This record gives sequence, C-alpha cells and structure tokens, in this order.
Amino acid sequence: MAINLQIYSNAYNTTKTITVDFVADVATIIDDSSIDDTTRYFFKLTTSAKDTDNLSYTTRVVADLSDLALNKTKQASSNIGTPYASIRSMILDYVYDYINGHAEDKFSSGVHYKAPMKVSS
Amino acid sequence: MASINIYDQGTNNTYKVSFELKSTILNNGLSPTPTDFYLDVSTTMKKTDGSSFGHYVVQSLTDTAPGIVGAANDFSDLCKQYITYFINEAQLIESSSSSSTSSSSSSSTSSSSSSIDSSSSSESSESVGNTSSSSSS
Repeated sequence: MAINLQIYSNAYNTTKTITVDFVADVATIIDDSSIDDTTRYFFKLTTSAKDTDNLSYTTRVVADLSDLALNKTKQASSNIGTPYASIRSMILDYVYDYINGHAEDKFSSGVHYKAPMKVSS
Repeated sequence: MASINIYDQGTNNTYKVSFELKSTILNNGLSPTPTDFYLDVSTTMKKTDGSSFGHYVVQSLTDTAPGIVGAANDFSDLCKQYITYFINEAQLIESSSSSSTSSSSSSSTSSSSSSIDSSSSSESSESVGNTSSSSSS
C-alpha cells in the first residue's frame, strides 16, 4: 500500500498530499522509443499539487539511495552529494524539495529551477 | 506495494513475495525513533519444516537478505536477493545451489498494470529453476 504524506499549511488551512509507493515493473518504456524488459523495483513519488507557478510535478522515480533529489547529484536540503543513509532520509529530502522548490543549478547540481509548492489554495 | 508471484510448476503452487512501504514508529529494540519509512518484506512461502518466514525490515540498502555480505547495489538488486533467499530456504528448486533467479530459461513475463498518477500496487512474475513464470496483472 502506498503512503500518503500530508503537507498542512497552517496559514492557509490547506492540505496537500504527496504519495510514495514502492513498485515493481516488468517493462519500462523509455523516452517513448524503446522498451527495457528488465524487472525493476523502485520508489515512485507523485502528487496532484502544483507549484506557485501553477505547474504540475512530474513523477519522481528513486531506484537507488544515490538518486539524490537535485538532478540525482545533490541532496535538496544540504549540499551533500553522497547517497542517502536510509529510506527515511531519502523520502524526507524529496518532500523537502517538493515543498521548498529549488533555484537553478542549486548546489551546482545542474538542476532546473522549480518553484515551491503552492499551498494558498 | 511491490508484489511478486513465484509459480512452482512442479507443485502448481503460486507464492508471493511482497515489498510493502510502511510508515510507523519503529521500535526494533534500539532507542525509539521518530516516524520511520521502511520496506516490510514478507512471503507466503514456507520453510521446509512448514513454518513461516518472518517479516524482514529494510531501512537501507545494507538491510540485505540473510547470508548476503555487503550492501545491495540498488533496490532491484536487494529485492532479487530476498526472492532468491526465500526460494532457496523453501527449497522450491531441486538444486541445492544458491544460483540467481535468472539462471534458467523462462517464458516471457507480463507487463505491469501500475499507472503513473495512481498509487496502486503492481505485480509481476519471476521464474526460478524448474518453475515457470505466470502472467499476472
């Protein structure tokens, strides 16, 4: 069963949800052009929330604890490039990134700009 | 939740290995921690004495299956280690070796039914030794 993490805004009395699940897929369609039929196991993070630019979030896939939140190269909450120590650390850091967004190339990760999560409505 | 079907053609039995993501306050005998996120690994396979396997808690890639030395390369590697461990301990294959699940020929497996925007669980099948895979969705 997936976990639904509730993000509550006291200022606006709103709640946003981030869903985290661990899944196994037999086939993966890559870039709409090829199929990888290796069975893969990975974490999948999704949300219907939008950012303050009113843009949606793409599905985020974490296959390894070295898949860091900022472009797979840096953790979102600190300028650290080493793998997460635990599943808990990984989830909390990704949730941090959802909530706070990040500047262009934050921590020299090469990541593109993403606005913070919109909680006003 | 990732749920894997293991079909044993010899006995016509199908077993499940499940990897369920959980969020609870985990007290494993050490100091109580805040809410933790971890994988709960379990199976419907039985040991040779008829007893059940326990639940295994995976908090990081170092929480590998019994008998595995060192951390797993990634979550796919870790899950396959657990599947292999259960199959070997349940002695579902005739050989006593601990070869990997991909050592024998197998028929094609089915595709997953999970969709991107939903949180539904997904299932897939693996074949081992003298067993064969079964389609499931």
